[in-house]
Order: sequence, then structure tokens, then C-alpha cells
Amino acid sequence: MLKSKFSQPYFWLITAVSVIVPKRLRAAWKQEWEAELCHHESRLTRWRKLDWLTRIDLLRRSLGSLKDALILQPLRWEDDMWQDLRFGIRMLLKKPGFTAAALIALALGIGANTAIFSVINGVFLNPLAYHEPERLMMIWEKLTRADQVELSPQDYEEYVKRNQVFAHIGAAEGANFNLTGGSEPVHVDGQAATASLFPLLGVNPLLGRTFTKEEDDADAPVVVLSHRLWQSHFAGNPAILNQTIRLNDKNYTVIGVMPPEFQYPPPVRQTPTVSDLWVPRALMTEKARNSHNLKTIGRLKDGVTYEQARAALELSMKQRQQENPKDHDGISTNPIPLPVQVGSQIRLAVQVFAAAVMFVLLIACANVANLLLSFAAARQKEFALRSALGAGRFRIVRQLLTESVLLALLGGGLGLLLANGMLKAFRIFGAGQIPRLDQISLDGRVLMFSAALSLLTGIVFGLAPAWHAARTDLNQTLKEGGRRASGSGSQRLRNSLIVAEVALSLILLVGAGLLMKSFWRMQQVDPGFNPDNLLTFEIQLPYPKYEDAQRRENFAQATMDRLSALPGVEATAFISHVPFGSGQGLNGYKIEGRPEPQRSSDAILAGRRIITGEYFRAMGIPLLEGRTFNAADGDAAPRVAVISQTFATRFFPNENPIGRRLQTNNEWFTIVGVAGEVRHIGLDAELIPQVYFNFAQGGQFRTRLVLRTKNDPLSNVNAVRQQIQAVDRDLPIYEVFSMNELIAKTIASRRFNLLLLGVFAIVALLLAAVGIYGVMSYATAQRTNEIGIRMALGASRSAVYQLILGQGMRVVAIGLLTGLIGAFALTRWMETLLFEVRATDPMTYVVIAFVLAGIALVACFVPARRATKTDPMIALRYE
Amino acid sequence: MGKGYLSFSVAVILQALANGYQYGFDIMDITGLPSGTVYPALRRLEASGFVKSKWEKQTIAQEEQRPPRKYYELTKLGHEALAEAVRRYRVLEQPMVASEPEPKRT
Repeated sequence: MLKSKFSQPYFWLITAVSVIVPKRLRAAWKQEWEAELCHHESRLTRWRKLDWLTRIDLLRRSLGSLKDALILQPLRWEDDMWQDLRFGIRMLLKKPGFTAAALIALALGIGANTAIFSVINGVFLNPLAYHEPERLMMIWEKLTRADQVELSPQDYEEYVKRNQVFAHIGAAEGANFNLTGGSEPVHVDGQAATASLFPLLGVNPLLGRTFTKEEDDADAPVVVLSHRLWQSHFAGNPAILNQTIRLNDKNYTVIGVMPPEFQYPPPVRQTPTVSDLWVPRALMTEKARNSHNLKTIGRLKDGVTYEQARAALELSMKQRQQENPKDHDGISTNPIPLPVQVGSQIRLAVQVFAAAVMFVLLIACANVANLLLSFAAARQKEFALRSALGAGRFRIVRQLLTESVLLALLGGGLGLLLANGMLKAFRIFGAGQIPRLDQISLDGRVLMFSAALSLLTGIVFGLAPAWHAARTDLNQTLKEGGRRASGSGSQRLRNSLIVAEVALSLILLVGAGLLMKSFWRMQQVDPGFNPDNLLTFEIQLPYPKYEDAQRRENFAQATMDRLSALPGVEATAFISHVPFGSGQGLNGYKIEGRPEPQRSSDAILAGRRIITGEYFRAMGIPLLEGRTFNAADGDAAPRVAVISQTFATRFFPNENPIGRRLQTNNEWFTIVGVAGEVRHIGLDAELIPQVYFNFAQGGQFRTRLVLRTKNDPLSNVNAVRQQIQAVDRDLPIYEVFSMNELIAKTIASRRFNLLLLGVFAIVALLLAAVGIYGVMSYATAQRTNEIGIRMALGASRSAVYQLILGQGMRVVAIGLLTGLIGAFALTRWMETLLFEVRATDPMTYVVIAFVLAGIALVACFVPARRATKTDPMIALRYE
Repeated sequence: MGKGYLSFSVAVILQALANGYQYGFDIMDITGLPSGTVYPALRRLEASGFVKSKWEKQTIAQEEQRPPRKYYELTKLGHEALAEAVRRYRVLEQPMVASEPEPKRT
């Protein structure tokens, strides 16, 4: 009975469910169910039992078809997907060059991207060890010539007095200690901190407590240790609390230990060492009112923004100016949010690298896109054939998509491995340049971003030609043997990708070139002294033992005598802190006979160095006028000073400074000499005027020595140490360097930047070269027929070369032009990273453009050569 | 199958097959199991090689003016599995009684 067969609901259900059954099984499955239903329907009809009850029963039975269809799903997926996958893998393996090129491009782009962004993320976005670090601001002052000046005790007290926006303010200044009582005296860097500091930072001690305000005011000899010191010197013994330790020959009680990640001051450029203990501030001898050494930090009150705080501080500064016009004129306040502070040193560099990485990623994607386009275009014939054999358009597209996605995922995986490797390399080569490098790990979000980008590239560029290919006219394509695939549209697309690659590479190379030139320029700078064969180290004279100036002088004399007597040593001198080292602060001076400076910012600020007379000779610094200190300038003699050349030209422009008097710390000094200028902060930093004082007339407790040696400076270290300890058994020497090492450290960050950017530029260059080669290869291969004809008709080799190279170089030329314009516009952005080189330095641009053009020429040359080598007969037959 | 032994409903289905109930809906009738259990089980059994499926002769189907039905048979493996299952589920030793016996038509 064929009456309205399949008109019942259960049949509709089967039809509906059959949609999700894999195509391959669909017909059979549908038949099975329909057959059963039909059979039972007719049987019921025969027995006259077909009513709505039995119909419902049939419907109920057919419900199971859904579960049945679902069971078959994995089959469907496995089917098609495995097939696509297997085919895709085979295709990729068939063209190893293409696959390798694409994978390398993707791996580099994704890997580099992830590594750099992880660094950026780690440095900028991860919180510091403090509680809510974004609520903290470091409080500096700004003078006409310096941006971030520490506060003097006077300033600090003013800020505290007038404070309205900060919940707490605290400060600390560097202090140095000799820890004795163990087998050997040990030098420890510490901080003298206000009691408010620890609660302000919001970090609780691991053991014990931090000091109270009473202890701060009362000068109590208590100390808080760092975790590192506790582990290294006290074996992590919890019983350390309430023990006494001996620092600078004085007994201190340990009241607390801080947790491992804690650190103050925060890593800011001129704090190369990490502090290992904290004592109350009032404990250190009262420094002069206008010595600026306090690193101050404040925690904002709830709801106060950075802007509000800045405005409030500026207002209170104005008030101070009104009350004491002379003292504060021209000084402004410069509070910096802590996250900005920590990251600011390297922010620009990291931004430049981020841009560089994006460029490389784009170039890599362009390369992959080109490769995919060429590859797909070359398979036109295959697609046409498959279409003719019945493969649906969708099927072909899905196939190509699978290949591209496979490529993208593999590339992503390789990229991840590369990123790991790069991060490790960063840790080794960048240590010291980048704060908190050891806490940075690969960022998952970045990886996702890069992976997504690569996937997107795979899909977009795998899809476009696939779609186009699948739509081609079969007949046409099969007839022409698939040659016409390189339609002008897709060739144009390929060419524009090449233009983009060349332009981006050029920009990167120009950037690297400028940095290289800066670096080279910097190395040419004369430091002002002879850095070779110069050994330097630091000692710390403990306070109570050497309180008397005469004792210090005796120590100095005895030490210098002994050291000079060593066979390897030519000259010895003391210096409070060496050029290129740490601890470069500024002090205020008055010149006799000059009116008081109108504005505080016009105050005479200069560096202060305490030396022994031999210093200039030991360093190789010329004495331009007058004399250096000698034995007559003892503690009882009149006070004398030597000024630097910059001091002389700046403050005594038209007169002879010899014999004039300077005042500092309420003492008057007579100028007896002018020394040659020395680069104190860095080869690329500005010159700062210096005043030198005689050690005998008030030597420092913490001081350095410099020795001019006859041979390799570091080979003398042991002998030197022995001599020092012969004078004072409890005195360690530390921070031992050769001068060249110290200078190298200051340019290390530049070198690192250069290295990094150079690597990117070279990678970009290689990628671009490979990209150009690939596209040219393909384009030439497509024209083999035409070339064959030309050569058969008598065209010479050189004519063919001209044709091919002309085609290629025209595209490259456009790319170069675009790149030059781009570089011109973009390099202004990195001007701060350059030294004595303009961002528009023409020679760099020209040289780089030529280099890139040359490489592009080579990349075009190889396929051109291959073209000329073709036998015209073969070429004519080429399809 | 995932476990080392067959579940009871699958064993019952095997028994039904051995007793001559070879069409899907017939198995549903005699065992009382819903189609959502029987058909998936049949698929798995076939995938594991315990049963094989065949289409009934085209002539029979044409007679009744409907598509050919699919029927299932136990394989040698299936028979062994059934013997194992019967040892496990003693109740299966009892012969099955159909309410409306349907003769095998091939």
C-alpha cells in the first residue's frame, strides 16, 4: 500500500534525524529505520490495529533513532577529518621546502612575539612585591638640571608636615655595614629607614616585627634582616630573633626577618645592589641639611588619584616658596607612580622591541601568505580534477583549510619552544638590565594571541586562494593545464605582500643601523682618564672604631704605603666613589663673594669626591691648573679643594678659580687646583661638575681605592687583600672590579639593545629574502613557456635576465621607497635611545637601502639564472 | 566492549538474536528494551564483530512495497560471547517466549 507513505510523524522524525548521520551511512541508515517502520505499520494495518495508540507507539520507537544517529557521529568525524588530515600531512611532506619555510616563518614570528611580550608583561604588568603597588608614588624633586633628585632630611620633614594626600610617607637612605663575628668580616649593604616605611609598603615580616616609631626616635640599635642574609649568614635559624649581631663594631638586636621577595628601595636605575638589612633612620649620623639622599615613597589615601596627589604636592611646594622664597625657588616636586618608576627605565626600549617584534610577525605572516598563495595556485589542476570527479567545493575548501590550520598549529608549537629558549637567553644576557627578570615567565595570554594570529593567517590565506581555486572553470583549467592560475589579481596580491615585507625589513634594519652607529659613537668617547690596568674596590671603615679623623688618615697612609710597595702596583689612591660606579649624589655649594643665588635652582650643585692626593696621577687625569693635595694639607691645615674643569667653566667662566673660596657644610675651602674633566656617570651622560676634597681633611667611612697596576688588574686582588688585612684584620674588601669591567657594565644595556634589535633585523632580512626568492621563483616558473618562446625566437640570455630581474626589482624598489618613508617617520620615536646620531642620519639610510637592494637582487637572480638555463624545447612543452 | 564482560541488556539482545529475533523492532518487542538501547547496542556489537548485518532480499521487500529491512546475525564470536554471557546471567538459560512469534524470512 503505497498510499501517503512516509507521511506520518515518525517518518518525518527519521528524515529530520538523518541529517546528522554521516553522509556515507545516511542512505542505509534511513532505509533501515523506514523499513522497520513501514513493515510494522503495514502489519498493524493488516491486523486492523493501526490506531492513534499504536501510532504513538511507533513514534516512541522512532525516538531512539536520535540516540542511534548520535552514536554514529564519531564515525563521521573520524572519517572525514582523518582523511583530510592524512592528505594534508602528505601534501606538506611532498613540498618540504615550502613547509619548512612556512614553519620557520611562523615559529619565529610567534616565538619572538611571545617572548618579548612576556618580558613586557612581567616588567610592567605584574605587581611588585608590595601591597597594592599602584597606590604608591615615589617622591622626587626636580631641579633645573636633574629630574629625580632624592630628598634632603629638611625636605622630607616638610613633606610630612604639609601632607594631605598620602596616608603614609616613608624614606630610606643607603647605609653600609661590616658584619663581624664570623670567620671573616663581611660587607653588607643596608638601608636606614624611617619606622613608617614597612607599614607603608604593606609587607609583613616573615619573623618577628619591624621597628616602631619610638625605636626610630630613640636611636635604638635594632635591625631587620633580609631573607637572603638570614639564609646565607644565619643558616635560616629561627632563633635569630632577639640575638645580637655585630655591625660596624656595635651590637644590634635582630628584631625581624623580611620575606624572600621583599626589597626596598625598589629596583631603580642607580641602585645596583640589593639591601640586606634595615636599621632605624635616626641611627645614622645626621647628614648635612642639604645633602639629598633620602629615597622617599608615599602611599596615597583612598580615592586620591595620581593627578590629585601631584597637584597637592605642587601646591604645598608653592606654599613653601612663599614662606621661604630663596630656599625653594625653581625647585618643583616630581612624584612618580611606582609602577611607572620601575618600568620607566626600559619602557622605551621595550616599546621599540615590541614594534620590532610586530614587524617580524607581520613579515612572517606575509611570507606564509605568499607561500600559501603560490602553493594553492600551483595546484589549480589538482583542484579542477577533483571538482570534475565530484568533490564538492566545500570539500576542497575544507581540505585546504585543514592544511593551513595544520601548518599554523605546527608553527605555533615550534614557536612556543622558541619562546622558551629566547626567555632563557634573555635571562642570561639581560640580567641586570631588566629589573625582576628572574620573575618573568611565558605569558599564556600572549601565547594565545600569537597562536590565534597564526591560526588566522593560516585560515585567511589558506581560504582565499582555495575559494578562488574551487570556483574556477573546470574546462578552461584542464585544457590549459592549470597554467592560467597565476591570474593578474593573485600576482598583484603577491607583489603587494613583497612590497610590505621589503618595507618592514628596511625599517627594522634602519633602526638597528642607527643603534649600531650610536653604540660605535659611544665607544669613541674619551672617559677623561685611562681605564686600562686600573683596579678598584671598596672598603667600609666601621663607624665607632674610625670616628676620629686622624685614625682614618693613619689608616689611609698605612694602606697606601703598603699597597704602593707591592711589585705589581704603580700608584694608589683613595676616592669616595669612582666614575661609572654607584652613589653619584649632588651637594650644594656657595662661592665666596658671589651674591646668594636668586632661585634655589640656580644653586651650585656639584658632585663631591674625597680623594687622596695621588688620585689624579693614578687615574691619568690631567691637572689643568694649580696643584693636587699634598702632605701639607693635613687635618690641622687650612681647608683646600680641587674643582673639575666643568665646575670651572660653568661657575668661573671668566676668571681664575685658584685661590677663590667655596663653602659647603658650613666650612670654607680654598681652591688649589683644576682637574681635567671626567665622565662620571656614563659615556653617554652629561658632564657633572665635581669638587674634590682631601681625605686627610675628613675622609669618608665608605670609600674606594684605585690602583694602577703594571699588568692585569684582577691578578693582584689577593695580594691587595692581604695587605689591607695586615693593617686592619677585620676589614673586608668588596666590589672588586677592573675599571674596564665597570665601564663595560654601563654600556651593557646599550649593547643588549643593539644585539636584540640586530637579531630581529637579521631575521626580518632573511624572511624577506626568502619571501622574495619564493615569489620570484614561482613567477618565473609560470613564465617558463613564454621564456622558451622568447629564447627560441632569438632573445639573448641577458635579455631574459633583464626581463626577470626587471620584473622583480621593480617590486623591490617600490618596497624600498615605502620603507624609506616609513623609516623616516618612525625612527623619530626612538631618538632617546640614540647617542650623537640623528634619527634621520642619511648615511645609515642609504647604506641599509643598498644592502637590502643587494640581497633582493641575489634573491631574484637565482630564479632568473635558472630561467636562462632552460632548454627552449623543454620550456615550450612545459605546462 | 569496554568492560571485560557484556552488560545484561546486551546479553539479552544476543540471546534474542540466537533465538531467531533478527530484526531491530522484533528485538525490541521480545526484550522489552527501548529503541534507544537496542540500536546503539546493535551498532556496537557489529563494530566489535559479534554480529553482522544483512539486507533482506529485494524481492520480499518489493512484494510488500516497502524498502528492504536489515537483519542481524550472530557471528561465531557472537555465539562464544553469548555462551559466556549465559554462564554469567543464569536467567538467560530459560528459553524465550514470544507473544507474536515472527518467522524468519530470508
